[in-house]
Amino acid sequence: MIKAKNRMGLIFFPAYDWAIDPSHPEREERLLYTQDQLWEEGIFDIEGIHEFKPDIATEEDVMRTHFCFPDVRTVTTESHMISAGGAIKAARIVMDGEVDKAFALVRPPGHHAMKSVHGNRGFCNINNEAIMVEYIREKYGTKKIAIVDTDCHHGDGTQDVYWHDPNILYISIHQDGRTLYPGSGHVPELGGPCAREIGRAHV
Amino acid sequence: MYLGLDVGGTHTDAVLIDNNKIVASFKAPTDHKNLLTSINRALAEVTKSVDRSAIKRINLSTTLSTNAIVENKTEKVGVIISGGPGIDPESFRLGDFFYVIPGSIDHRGTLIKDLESAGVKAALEECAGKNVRVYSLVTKFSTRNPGEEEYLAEKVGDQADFVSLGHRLSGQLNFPRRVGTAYFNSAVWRLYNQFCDAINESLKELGIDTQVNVLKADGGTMPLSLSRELPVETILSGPAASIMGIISLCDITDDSIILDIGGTTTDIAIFASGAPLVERQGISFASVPTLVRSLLARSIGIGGDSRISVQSGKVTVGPMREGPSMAEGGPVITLVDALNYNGTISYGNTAASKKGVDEAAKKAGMKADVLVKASIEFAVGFITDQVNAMLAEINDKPVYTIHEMLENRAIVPEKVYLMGGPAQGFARYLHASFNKEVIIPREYAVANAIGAALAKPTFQVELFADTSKGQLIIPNLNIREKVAGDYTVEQAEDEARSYLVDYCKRMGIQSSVKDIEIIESSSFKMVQGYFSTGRDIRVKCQIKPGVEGGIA
Repeated sequence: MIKAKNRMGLIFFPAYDWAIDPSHPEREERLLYTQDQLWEEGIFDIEGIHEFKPDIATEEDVMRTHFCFPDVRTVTTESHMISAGGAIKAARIVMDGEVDKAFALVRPPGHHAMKSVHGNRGFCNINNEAIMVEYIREKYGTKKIAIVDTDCHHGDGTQDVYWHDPNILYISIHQDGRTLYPGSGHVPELGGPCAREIGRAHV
Repeated sequence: MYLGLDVGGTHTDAVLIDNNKIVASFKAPTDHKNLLTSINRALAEVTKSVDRSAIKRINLSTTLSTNAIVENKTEKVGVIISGGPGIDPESFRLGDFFYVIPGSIDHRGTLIKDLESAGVKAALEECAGKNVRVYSLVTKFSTRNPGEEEYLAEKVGDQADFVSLGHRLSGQLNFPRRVGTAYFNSAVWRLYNQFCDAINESLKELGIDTQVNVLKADGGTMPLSLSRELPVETILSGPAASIMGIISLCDITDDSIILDIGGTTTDIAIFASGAPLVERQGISFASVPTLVRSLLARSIGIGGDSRISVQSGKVTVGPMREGPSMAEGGPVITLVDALNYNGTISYGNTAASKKGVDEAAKKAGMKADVLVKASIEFAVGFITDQVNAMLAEINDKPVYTIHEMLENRAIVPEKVYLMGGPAQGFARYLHASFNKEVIIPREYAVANAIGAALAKPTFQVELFADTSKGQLIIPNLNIREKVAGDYTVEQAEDEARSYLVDYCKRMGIQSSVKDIEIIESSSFKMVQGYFSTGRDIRVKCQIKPGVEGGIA
């Protein structure tokens, strides 16, 4: 049997019984094939790789990160709370030392959700990554965290949440905004005055 | 009348059941060097006073295939596989004739790269040179597209007496496990078929002419004739027999803990609302994971004959067993001796137990009472911890739908069902430790054979339909069909059901339509560009496991 070099926790939550609407491209199929590949490879048989169930994020977890209008419950569904909960679980198992590394493969996604949430934006309602980061800061005290976003779209939501935060380094690799949603993510976008100075000093 | 025969590690038990009553029973030590003799004797003895023509069915549970694997008496298998991109198959190499051929199929079943024919030829030549006569042929995603495995089978041709094709053994995904399953299937094929021939001979000599089934690890049965092609399903049915046994003896309806305390090990099973749980992916043989379905059971190293050791004042029990308890003439004190000492049970030579415990206590520099108490506490504590760990694992099992996340109730056992030899003296300690009612069924001595006798047939099929490709496949029934673009999941469910019913008829699997159930069903839309191209439909259909009747 293969043994993993590092203990890894995988949180896989494809929310197979949920979709934004029946013909929406943000669909269950996205994770279905990933699941097929994981199973066929026998990933979960590898010693040191363990599959976990996601947590369910609480309203408090969301409010730590966002201002929701009119309130959290109106702009979210259970699928969003479970997806964010998946990110939180990933953080929890690493910070608690249960595993060395964690990967949350969850939907719905979150990086287009900004600090103020009025509803769905770019298939996202609440920002999974930001909720996870605020959870880590609250429960474990870690302040400086880097977020690396490799999705083909600019993560304008995450950028918005941490625009003024000098302790968060947000790196996004994406297709040029002039040719793809959301149209932002240009080179001069280096953060607000407090965050930008730090950024420039380190560049 | 139904006959059930269980070849266990220690004993071979047989029972005849008529109208939910035990008509005859037989128990004798298993002769592992000659399983057939043990079986023949059991068959002859248990049926000697009855009208053999009244026997409607014989269900067998044997360790033949298990033993062959454990003792390395299996045949050399030519394993020819193709994985394409992914984990290096060397990490799950099996046997001495293991060949990885370049080629690949993707997750949708699309052939991306043909099998390299030169590699296939070289592999087959080498196997022929070494007189390899059985083969296992497996490719990745063959359950979506079995074409390459069939191509390999064609190439093997008459070089083989028997070939196992991965996709025919299970519809489940997991390439390394599929390889393991196919390997064992071919490795025990000849031995197992010789065994089937011998059983048929014995039954003929005894004048018994009836349906013969074999018990599988999932607690269901399969006709002997069908098992000849799928011998891998007959490996390790041990815990299954005892679990089906307890279902036959007790009316279990709640979440429950089932404990079978044997000589060397204790088998733990968990029931949810009265039904046994099934292992998520499949059972492992000799540390090789497979896709063979089995009941969820754990075996832990504590039993009645586990030795009691004291090291630096610390008392431990097991996992070693150095022979039977001193009450049975063994060399060192065991759990049974401890239970004898404090009067919980009265088994065998209790004086020998007392003497042994007193001496061991003296040697360890502690009072005998303390030693006994510590031993029992250790054993009970260990069992309790293992049960709780198993429950935690079950309740933490990942789920993939919101419905299950929110609705899935945790399993909280209400009762403990206890079986197994003299270590039943445990009942009151377990009652205290779990704080639940402990029930001991009456006929537990031959529970395994009863379970075997009353077990019902099981079978599972998985159907995949890709409406954009217009294809439907049921891998283990070897069914491939075209479907229309508007094929629905409801149609798929109906087809899966009817194919299963048809298969049962053809294979002589005696099962009622009402036992067939759809256990998983999903339909996902596939999108390319901005257009919906079709649906990915998956249906899992099975014959429900269970027992027919029960012992009052």
